[in-house]
Amino acid sequence: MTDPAVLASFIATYLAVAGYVGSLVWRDRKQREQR
Amino acid sequence: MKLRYALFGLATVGMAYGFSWALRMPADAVQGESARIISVHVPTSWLAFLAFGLTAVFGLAWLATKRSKLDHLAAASAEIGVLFTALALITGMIWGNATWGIAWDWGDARLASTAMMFFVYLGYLALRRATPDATQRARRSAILGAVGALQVPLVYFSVNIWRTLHQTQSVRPDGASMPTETLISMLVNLGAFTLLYLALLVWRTDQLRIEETYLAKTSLAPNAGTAVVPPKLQPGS
Repeated sequence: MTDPAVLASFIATYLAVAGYVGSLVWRDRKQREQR
Repeated sequence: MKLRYALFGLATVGMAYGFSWALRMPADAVQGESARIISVHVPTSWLAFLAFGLTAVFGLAWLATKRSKLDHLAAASAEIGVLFTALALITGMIWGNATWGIAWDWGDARLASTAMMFFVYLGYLALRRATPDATQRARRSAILGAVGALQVPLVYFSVNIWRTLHQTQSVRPDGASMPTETLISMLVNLGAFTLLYLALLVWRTDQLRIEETYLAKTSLAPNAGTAVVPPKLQPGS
């Protein structure tokens, strides 16, 4: 599991998902402010 | 709201369990450690297919019923599909670089067709942003979503139709060409990522519904026709 290619794949995937979830949280907050 | 949290909870537990399986599965005899990438590359690719397939289904259902929720589901599914296609491309490039010694080859049918599908759905999202009227937006994107989904079987079977660099399917009706632990790791991650897709779909669909309701209520929809006032010409000027 020390293979950097494997680590890079998993980290990239989890970071991208976390980033998308973060954008949804931000949109939720913005929608609450606007309403 | 409760459904979203339940799905997120299950997906998080499933992804943690899937990650532990990816660590436990044996290294491949030929590819070595890099074969563990299968546990994330296959689920992200599967979700791209599922998301774009459902975008077409929801879009066609909107054309038949004109229920706005179906349009929101289609849009949310396409957005999540673009995210997972990007991840399938990135993890595939990392895996390709480790196994083939090259991250990208335009001559490979699977790589080129996946990239084409990615750009078509970026276009789908751009089309939605460029169409302010809700009914027009739903109709145009439903048609593009239905046409775009024709790429899903093309991308999936591209490895059989054109034998280039990418390997053919590892799991077929007659069995899987991989050790049991590798197959379990792949399937656990596939299930967990599918739950994640459902959680994101429920969340984003809800946001799109609120967005459209709010825009309709406050007339904030971008519309040049209402902002541009024709000049009043004086006689003799």
